[in-house]
Amino acid sequence: MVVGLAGYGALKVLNTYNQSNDEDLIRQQMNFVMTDAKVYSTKLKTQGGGEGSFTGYKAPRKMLTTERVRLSMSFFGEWIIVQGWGTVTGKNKTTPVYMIGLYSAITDDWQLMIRIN
Amino acid sequence: MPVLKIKTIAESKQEGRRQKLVILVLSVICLSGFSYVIYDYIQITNRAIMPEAIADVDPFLKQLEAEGLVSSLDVAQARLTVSEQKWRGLSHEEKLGMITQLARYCAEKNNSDEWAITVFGQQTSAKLGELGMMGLIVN
Repeated sequence: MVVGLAGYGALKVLNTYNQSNDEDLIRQQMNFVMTDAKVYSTKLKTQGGGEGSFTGYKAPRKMLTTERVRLSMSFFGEWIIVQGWGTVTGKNKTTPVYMIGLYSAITDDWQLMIRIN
Repeated sequence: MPVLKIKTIAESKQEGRRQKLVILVLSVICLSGFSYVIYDYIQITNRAIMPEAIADVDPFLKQLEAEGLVSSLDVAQARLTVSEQKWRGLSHEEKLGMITQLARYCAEKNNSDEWAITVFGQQTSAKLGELGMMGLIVN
């Protein structure tokens, strides 16, 4: 029984490490997309930008889907909401690591970046 | 030539006490470990995490309805009605995940780009959460 518990503990540590890696990758990808969105908002409409707004921004597909991360996002008013999924199963042991980010265009910062699973 | 060691009664009693202590420590470790495994399992099975694929949301919603958490989801109005009691039982993260993914689900069904949803309690009709112009809010 002691060996079994030790094995369970080791697997748990390994899994937590993998989940933490996924979490970091999702955070990084969310930041990449927001940087790209900000570049878009600073450009003039004649240059294919948003002229101070994120409206009309479409993230490049390669940014939304990478080898280990999948993002989806939406804009409304001052808010940009981003969801991200990893590849490693999360805390519920059935679905991947899942995070949510809420960015405010007014404060120009993440108001929320939280791991859900 | 082998030498036999003769133990005194005192030494034998001391050895017995040591063995009992080892057994006690191992038992405590096993009991704590086993309790943690059970606690971990309960934590896992109690989590209500929305599936990633929109196609998988429908069966998950049916499951939540069967469990009594979700009373109804008006997709056109993006209005979710839940049991307050069950809603209070969810963690803050679970609520945020459910609001966001269901807002996305409604937007896709309504062919809209904007994710928005409002969560109301079934009994009191109080607003329990929202994703909209005010941001992502959980009450």
